[in-house]
Amino acid sequence: MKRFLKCMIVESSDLLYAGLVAMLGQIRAGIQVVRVQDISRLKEQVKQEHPDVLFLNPLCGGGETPSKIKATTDRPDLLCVAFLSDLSSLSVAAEYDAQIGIYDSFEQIRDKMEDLSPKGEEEEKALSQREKEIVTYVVKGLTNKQIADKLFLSQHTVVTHRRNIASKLNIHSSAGLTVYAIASKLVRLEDIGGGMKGA
Amino acid sequence: MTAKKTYSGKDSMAALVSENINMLFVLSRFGIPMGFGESTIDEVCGQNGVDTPTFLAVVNLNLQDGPAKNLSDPSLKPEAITEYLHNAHEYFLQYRFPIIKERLKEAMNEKTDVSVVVLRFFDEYIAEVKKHMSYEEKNVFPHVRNLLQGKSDNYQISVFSKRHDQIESRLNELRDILIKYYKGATGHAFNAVLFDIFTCAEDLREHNEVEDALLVPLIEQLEKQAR
Repeated sequence: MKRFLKCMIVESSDLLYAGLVAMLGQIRAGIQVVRVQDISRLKEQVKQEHPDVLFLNPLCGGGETPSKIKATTDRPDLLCVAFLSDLSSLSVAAEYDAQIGIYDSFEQIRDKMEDLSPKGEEEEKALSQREKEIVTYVVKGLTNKQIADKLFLSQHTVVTHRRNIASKLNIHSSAGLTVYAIASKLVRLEDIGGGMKGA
Repeated sequence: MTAKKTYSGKDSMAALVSENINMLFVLSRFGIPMGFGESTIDEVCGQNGVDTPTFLAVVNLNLQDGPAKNLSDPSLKPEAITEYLHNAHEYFLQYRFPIIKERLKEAMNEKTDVSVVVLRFFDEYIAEVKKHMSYEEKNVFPHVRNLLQGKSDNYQISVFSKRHDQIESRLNELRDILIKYYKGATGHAFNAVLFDIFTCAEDLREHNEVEDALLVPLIEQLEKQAR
């Protein structure tokens, strides 16, 4: 998750801000966080600090939207995540790159952050948690559609993950992925049953 | 150790083999027995009824570094190449793969989850290669015979070029998975089979090169002439 090294947060509640910072720290060590205190200075700060991700609580955003922020700061690559403290903001959250809510579990937030990262230039060879999860479903014989449904992802995202998995491991067949998954103890033989016999 | 050069008919056959040990495969696929003493490549080919230019084309292609160029030399004998490829198919399917499979079983003698899926991978791989090779035996080789006899059929080699999978890359995949992730017993037997897989993949790569760089361009020419 190279892309999440620098995060900018717009959240007026100290309690929520501290909670988000703590959780991001658990997802990845070494994350740098900048807090925006004054919403009128948001765009100026984005230009100055050059964050990778912007967490914005729409309630504190003073009418700022991701498209406006990206356009005026000339940062089309800036990832904007809606930080929802309140269900009433759900309708505006749709235009963000991702949404996290104060009732999300740690795992949900971690997975959402990982889903945002694959387009990046990261060169890490080890599989992420999410990718390992997808490997186990693939070797159990699930289709992309079934995996997408299980993980609440789009099929497109599943395909992207699978492509990244193949290029990280340099394994392009499902039989090869199965050997990898068994050898790395991601699944046991009985989990995959006769899933690939004779195939 | 390998002498990378181009050989001609005047070179010694014994030198060709001792300088390039994988030429042993080429010899046996052309049906040339050992024991050639001081004879030249030309002489040995003549004694065994093998077309020297075709033999040399295969030899020099295999000795080439990097990706093969199209070698569309109209003087080559397509029937000699298909015979060579057919013998190679038999060698892989009836000799080489069964041996590797036996050695894999021996090397991973305890029945672990990993050994089960590795053997499944290999079985699946053999099935895939068999399919690929029997496609050539049933479609490509008869097409060559038809073209040479001036008979027309509905097959076109361009179809083959498109469905020509890189069968050696799957074997390299297995090699890399074993190197990176296999944690079972790794004694002499395991190293030996890994070595076998490695050389077999290399052999398959050369086999595919003969198909792509020698046979396909020749058939394309024959098809053009037939039109």
